[in-house]
Amino acid sequence: MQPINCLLIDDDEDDRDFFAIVLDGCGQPYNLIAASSGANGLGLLKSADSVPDYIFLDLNMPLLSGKECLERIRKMVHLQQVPVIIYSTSSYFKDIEDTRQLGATFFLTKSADIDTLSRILCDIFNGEQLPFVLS
Amino acid sequence: MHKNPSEINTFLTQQRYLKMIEEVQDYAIILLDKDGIIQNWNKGAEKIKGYTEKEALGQSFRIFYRIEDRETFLPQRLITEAATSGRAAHEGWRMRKDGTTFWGNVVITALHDEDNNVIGFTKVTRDLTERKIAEDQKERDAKSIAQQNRQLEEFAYITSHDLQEPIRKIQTFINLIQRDIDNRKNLETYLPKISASANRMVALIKDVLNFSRLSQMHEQFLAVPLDDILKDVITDFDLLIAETAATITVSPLPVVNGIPVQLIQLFSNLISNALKFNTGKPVISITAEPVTDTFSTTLSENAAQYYSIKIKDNGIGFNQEYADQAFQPFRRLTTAFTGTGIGLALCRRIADNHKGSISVESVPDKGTEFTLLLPGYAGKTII
Repeated sequence: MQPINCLLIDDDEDDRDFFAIVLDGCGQPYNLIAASSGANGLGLLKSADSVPDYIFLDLNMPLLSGKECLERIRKMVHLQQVPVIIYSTSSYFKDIEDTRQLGATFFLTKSADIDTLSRILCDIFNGEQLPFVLS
Repeated sequence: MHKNPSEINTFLTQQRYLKMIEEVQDYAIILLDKDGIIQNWNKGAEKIKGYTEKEALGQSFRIFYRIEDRETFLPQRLITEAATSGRAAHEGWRMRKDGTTFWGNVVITALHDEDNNVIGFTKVTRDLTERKIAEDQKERDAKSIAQQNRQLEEFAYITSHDLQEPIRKIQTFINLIQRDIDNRKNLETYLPKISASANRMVALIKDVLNFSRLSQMHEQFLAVPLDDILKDVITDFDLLIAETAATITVSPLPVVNGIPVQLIQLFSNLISNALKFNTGKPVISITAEPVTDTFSTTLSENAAQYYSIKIKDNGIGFNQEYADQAFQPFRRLTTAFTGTGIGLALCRRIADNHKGSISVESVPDKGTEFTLLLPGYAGKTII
């Protein structure tokens, strides 16, 4: 089984640690690259030969916000087909609508329930039919 | 009982007509010659403009216009428009004899002779000051409601994100501990993190409260010498200044019209930032100068003298394209330093409360310069 390549863009160190634990819970082999800012994340995505399978994107980040990152990602030709999953504390309707408009694939609200998050990631990786808002 | 008009002597009719105009009190009705010299005066004109008939006759109608309107040739433009199109209407501030102003609604109509040459003008003026004041108040109310809505929106966002985040983290750490409750190493890792998240929550709630209180405060505006404010603020930072080997120079500052506690908070936040966001020895300077351009008059109708106060540091700075974000609540420009992201939002609100403004210019690794515009104290309070 090919490992799943994930890029996580999140400025919060704790949340980057949590995400690795959530991925462990999926039981599938994976590679996780974590970027601590939007600028770092976009830097990693520039080259066409390092396209991840999934991009997980925090919204509330200093300087370059998640929404701005999403906008720029969707403008990059080699990334247009890559699923971008918003991964945020927010469940604010405006954030959900804005990111849907900007071309996000799913909106996953960060939760304290690590097992549920692992299950949702599994469903995403298995290509299940899922609603836009996941939690 | 009606009399047939034809029965009335024409001369008498004209006399009554003139009398009628003379007696009208709510409208200033004036006859001007073709150069705008006042030929005729009525009670309304005296009541609205404050000149007696004797004082007004023979003067140019330009005396009713404010100096700045005379400088832009407003009276000439209106009379030219009336001469060419027959009529000119205008609403704006006009000046009484005593120099006070009123909001006038003016219609100037050209008078022609039989050969269609302009021989003079009638000028009818109404004093609509009360209506103008009511309209202005309405506009201010609408703006204030729009601003409050924006603030509510900000709060909705804050509660949807920032206030939930520490709690979610605490719950997550607890989950992680429960999964492997006998693992002492886990406990030692996660318990301090739970404590840090709880502390962050407390700091956030305090800041949210501070922030929301600012819009509720109806505090008295006083003459506040900024020199005194700065002295107090800098004393509060004595320890941090010593620790960071910072130098702060303050040149003489003006007395502003302000709310002391808010001004203390404003300068405290700015100096705290200047001390914090620096990896070397902070060098901070605070200078002030009166604002001479016309910008300040757009901030306040009562045209107080504004001062520009600059707070300059040699800190880490930031990319200028993020300058707007810096003043938004809970938007932080870095996670490398502690903070809740509310300090500059507070500063902006305090500047707004003072009918002033705050702006910033910054260069990464060079430093940051904040510019405050604040109204000077002029012996009266701004409402």
